[in-house]
Amino acid sequence: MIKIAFAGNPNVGKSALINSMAGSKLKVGNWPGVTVEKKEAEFEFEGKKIKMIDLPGVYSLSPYTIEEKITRDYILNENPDVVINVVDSTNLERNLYLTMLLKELGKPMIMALNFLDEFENLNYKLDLKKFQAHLEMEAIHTSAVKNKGIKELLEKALLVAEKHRKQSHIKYELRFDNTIENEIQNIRCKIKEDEKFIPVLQKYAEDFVCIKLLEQDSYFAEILEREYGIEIDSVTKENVDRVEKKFDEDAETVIAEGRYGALKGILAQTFTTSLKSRLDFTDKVDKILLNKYLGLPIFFFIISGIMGVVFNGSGPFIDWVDGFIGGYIGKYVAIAVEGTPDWLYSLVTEGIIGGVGGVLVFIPLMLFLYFFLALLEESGYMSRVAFLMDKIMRRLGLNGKAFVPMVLGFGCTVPAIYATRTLEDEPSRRLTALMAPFMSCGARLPVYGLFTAAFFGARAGMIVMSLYVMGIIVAVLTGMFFKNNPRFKAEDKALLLELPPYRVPSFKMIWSSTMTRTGSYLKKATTVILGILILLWGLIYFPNNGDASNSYMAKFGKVIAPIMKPTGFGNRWEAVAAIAPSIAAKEVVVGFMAQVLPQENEASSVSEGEDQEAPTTFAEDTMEQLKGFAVASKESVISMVSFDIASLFTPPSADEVEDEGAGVVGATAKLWEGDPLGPLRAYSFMVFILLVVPCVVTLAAIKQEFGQKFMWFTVMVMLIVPYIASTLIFQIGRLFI
Amino acid sequence: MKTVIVIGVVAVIAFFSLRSVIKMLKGESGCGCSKDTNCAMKDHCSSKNKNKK
Repeated sequence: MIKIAFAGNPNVGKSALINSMAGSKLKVGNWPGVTVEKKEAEFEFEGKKIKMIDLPGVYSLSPYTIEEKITRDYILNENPDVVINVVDSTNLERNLYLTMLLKELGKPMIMALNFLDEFENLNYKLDLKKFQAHLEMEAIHTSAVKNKGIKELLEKALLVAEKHRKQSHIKYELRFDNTIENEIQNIRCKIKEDEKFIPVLQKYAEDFVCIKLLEQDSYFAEILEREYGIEIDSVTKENVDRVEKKFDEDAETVIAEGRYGALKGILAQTFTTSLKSRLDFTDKVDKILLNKYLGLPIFFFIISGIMGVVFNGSGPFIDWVDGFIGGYIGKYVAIAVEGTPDWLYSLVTEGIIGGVGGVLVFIPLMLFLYFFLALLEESGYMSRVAFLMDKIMRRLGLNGKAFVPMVLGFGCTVPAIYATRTLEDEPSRRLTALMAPFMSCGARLPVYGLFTAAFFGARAGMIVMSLYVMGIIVAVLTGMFFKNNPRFKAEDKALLLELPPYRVPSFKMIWSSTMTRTGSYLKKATTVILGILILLWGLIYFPNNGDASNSYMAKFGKVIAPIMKPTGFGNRWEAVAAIAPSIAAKEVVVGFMAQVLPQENEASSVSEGEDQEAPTTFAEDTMEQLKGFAVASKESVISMVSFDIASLFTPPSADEVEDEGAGVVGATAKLWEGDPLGPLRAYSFMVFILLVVPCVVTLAAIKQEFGQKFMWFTVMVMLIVPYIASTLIFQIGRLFI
Repeated sequence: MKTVIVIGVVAVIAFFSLRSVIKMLKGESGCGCSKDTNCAMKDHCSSKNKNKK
């Protein structure tokens, strides 16, 4: 097996290159820090088994953040056969600093000069031959988006791996100032004569050891002391003193400047820029989007616009899927299981088809949301959101950097928890992990979709946007509440975030990201959620053979309901009982509602109607569904094109809310039918679902990163906070109704 | 006979879906351990579930 490690700065397209080569689906985005931990993809090429390792993007290899440690440790300890250093060819000066550091590790290397298309558009010129000679490695122009140079890069990487197969370390020319070179040479002589260093030099490249000793690298010093019993002060003190005396700077800074000097020298001889800069456009756009006064209103405008388009565009498809599952699949499954015992008939039609069908109804909503989320990520706007929030966070005394993982939480809370690794100090990490689960993740959206459709009509987008904003506000308030606690008291650190240039999003990448996320939703719905819904069906069906209001679940809901009364939704045991299974996975709420609330089935409505419809054949039903899909597509386009943002703020008409069909939405609308406080109760319920303990997988991630004690602390906070928030919303809201 | 067949089908569905619930509760799954290389819980997946392309 040939191991190829990909290393480079954040947001240079490492994951995208791997995806192009291996056909894998690693997450990519125009956003630094998408890859927080190393990820792997395996495939075969020309009969060779290849493992590609996607290392987190880093600017240096100093051991200050977890990503830097992961990248450095992997290359040093796991001995990849070749390292592909991915660089942004439109920003060589910044990217080559890491190249200099990687060379010091003494591993076989090759360079991918990525973003070839942008490089060409900008009329930049690079004397590739000279550039390669100076860097002592092959460099290949690549474009992951346009699939250019990918095969060549892989072939050359394999050649480099083959060439250096038997070499433990490679000696590169490091090009430091004479004084530094002399000190490095001096240290080299010392350690070569020292027996204690024999095992060290077997494992690490000579240059790397000498430079780390001269830099007095704390992490390496710890390894030397712990594993080899060597104290670095005794070896290099006089060398360090000499360097610091001569340059009047600490040795680490002097060496860093030496690296910059070397790379500037290489670029001066090989690289020509043009007057045109891709940053010109980005700067102009940022002047508006990051404007002191306009930045936040524009952000809210963009989010409300997206929510409006997502809900308007997906609405007709949701109705179609609802009819497809209930009226088509449900009809034929019911025919297939007709004549079986009542409990089995109920399990199949209500437990499985009804429950999972209720969750699957919202696939169009997820598809639309993930599409626009990917669009924001790919365009480069998402990191601006973190930048905008940084100012507010810092003004409130919170670590601005915390908002980067929190923005990730809009997609899924689990990666957001792992992304706290990008924060340097433990108290900041803990506080961010406590705040991130309040961000509204994708799994909550089907719940909003159901309750807004049932109670808010065309205002759905606006209501959902308010929930997203509420998540941010509650997260910030929680942070402010705990920030002075010694366990959470973070160091005041400025946000150092690289704002990526705006890029025209690649449809291929957006589509791939959308399909991967929606596929995960579909998979989750048909595995984990299905399992939970089968269990819930048992608790709803028994002991009274389908009488839900006297079931075990109802008994449980009715016991808890009085406690939940102040929140407004405590008057319906169904809503109260939905909270416990929502902790397993938020989408379960929708399936549970579909199971527990009586839905008007077609047979009964037909028999009550005046004209009995003639029975239809399978072919006719299929044609009907296909026609329905075409109509839904047309309506979706019309509602997106004719989207009127003012409709988000207009109260729904009575007909609009009542006419919700016979499916899960219609059944949910009857939860508080005729109750003037119904929408307020529904809103309070959604707020509770937004803020309550996140899913089991998030809890497992919190436990893994921060321990069991902290996980239980998070659970406690996320039970108290939603209770207070929902109660306040309902009690204050009812004063105005 | 029909009842037996339906019970058989439901039993298979229930077995696999409940197995995934147990895996989730044990922290072995998450956003998906099969082909989902984006899974942040990947290190928790049992080796046979890890992504093999």
